[in-house]
Amino acid sequence: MRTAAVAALIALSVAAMGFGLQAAGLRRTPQANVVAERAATWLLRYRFATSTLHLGGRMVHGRCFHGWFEGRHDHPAHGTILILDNGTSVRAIDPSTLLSQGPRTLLPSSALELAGCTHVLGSRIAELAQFDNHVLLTRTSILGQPALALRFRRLTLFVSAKTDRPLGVTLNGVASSIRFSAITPVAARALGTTE
Amino acid sequence: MTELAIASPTRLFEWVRTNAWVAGWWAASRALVLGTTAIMHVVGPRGLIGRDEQAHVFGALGAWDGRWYRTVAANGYLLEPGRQSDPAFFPLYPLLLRALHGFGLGYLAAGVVLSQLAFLTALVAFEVLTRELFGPSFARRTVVYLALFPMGFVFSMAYPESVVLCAIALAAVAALRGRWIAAAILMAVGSLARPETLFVSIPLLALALRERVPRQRGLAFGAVIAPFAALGSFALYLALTLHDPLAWTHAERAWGRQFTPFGLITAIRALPRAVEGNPWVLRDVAFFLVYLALLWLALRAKAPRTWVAAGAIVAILPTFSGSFHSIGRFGLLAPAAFWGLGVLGASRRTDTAIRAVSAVLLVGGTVSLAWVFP
Repeated sequence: MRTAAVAALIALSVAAMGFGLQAAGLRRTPQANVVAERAATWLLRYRFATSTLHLGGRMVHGRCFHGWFEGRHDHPAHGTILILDNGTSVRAIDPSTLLSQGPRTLLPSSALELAGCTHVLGSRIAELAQFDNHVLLTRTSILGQPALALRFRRLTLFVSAKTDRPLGVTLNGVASSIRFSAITPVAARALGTTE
Repeated sequence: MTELAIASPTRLFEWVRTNAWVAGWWAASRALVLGTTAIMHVVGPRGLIGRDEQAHVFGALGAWDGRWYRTVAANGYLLEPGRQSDPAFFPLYPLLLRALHGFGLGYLAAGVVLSQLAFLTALVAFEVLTRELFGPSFARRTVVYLALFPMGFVFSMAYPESVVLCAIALAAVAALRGRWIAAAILMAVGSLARPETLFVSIPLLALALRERVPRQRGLAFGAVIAPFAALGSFALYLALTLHDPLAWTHAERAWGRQFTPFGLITAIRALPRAVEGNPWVLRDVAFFLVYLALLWLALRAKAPRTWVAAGAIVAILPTFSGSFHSIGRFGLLAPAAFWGLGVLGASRRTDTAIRAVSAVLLVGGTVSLAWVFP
């Protein structure tokens, strides 16, 4: 009985010291990284995004889809397709192929992020949430609604202050607003998907 | 008082003099690893080493999981459901990185310094443990093999393996000497850095059962269960900060590690596809077989069965996650495998061969960091 009591006391002491060490020694994750992680979760929950990009005084609308579509040599490819109404289209095929057609007003990778392409921007934000030690979180407003701005080294992501849902991006001086929705099979096929 | 004051430095000097050879082998083996890394920094190869790490002369040693330990040290834990995230990495090593960072060292430099010092201490403790179990000449040979072991470049990386080996060896020595409170603390320290420490409870349980002093028995069993209590403290911390006490196992799944009763069969079946994806997995398969062979040799040489059992679990259990990846590294925390190597090196010829081959493979393993995680 005494042996068990002493052993239990040792175990409890060790647990208490271990917990104390972690609580005192480890940093609580900065709020900016937590918000970024929630924004990434929002993005990765969807496969379809529509967007409005403010390009040189013009408004360009975009539709972006993540899934299966016809790739090179008619093989089905997994990735992201972005179609802008200025005639630009971008295909990001896993793992690292980026194909762009039409007028080149933006770098293809920037276009995908600005258009809120869910798995491109979502993966990027998720990685930054984990590894960016210098992300800044500031309060702002978008269309009169309270919002938060997550300022990373290269891009700024605006999210809803209430839900952390991504609302827009600014990157290299270009701003965009983004919306997510479920996609119907008809709309998906109109984007050239094979689903 | 005067006698004590004089005796202590004399004893310390004598201890340093008799153990200087351990430091010599530590310095020689680390010179191979650090020298190779420095050469890689200047002339390459750099392969897949990240840009942040490439800026540092010993950057290759901070690559791969080192980046995750640094992010825990800098930012704390953040669970990203369904994605690879940092709760998969145990808290002690990031805690130590933070402590050294407080003295002005960068996180990568802190990791490299910490691992070298911990490995020196681990070698000294391992020598004491092996000497107590097998005698001095066997201990000498085994320490040399541990210092030069081909996967031993991991002990120089910003990974917790050196700290854990140090904790395991010191805990075992403390237990052998009946210092159970120290053993409990060291076992807790080890299990807050790597879960392999839990299996050291098996040899400690055997020692606890042999404890004859009734007053000590409770402390001894406390030391046996201490690593489980420490693991519980990690779960409690994760529950309070991430609202998920099992966040580390959930994060592990994103790396494809999920334990199942038929995991070993899955790992064997999936091997051809794993090799197709990453041929380096063959290195882990080779080390898996080497560890099993060495443990068998240790068993034949009458090494304590409990240590061999703990080593076998350390080597075999990871395969039940359905993969052979990283077993070369995991096995480094099985002291009995090195005792098996000590048995193999009994003749002068095999001893020389083991030293020469290990040194060459140690350099090769360090270079492999440019392309593959250990």
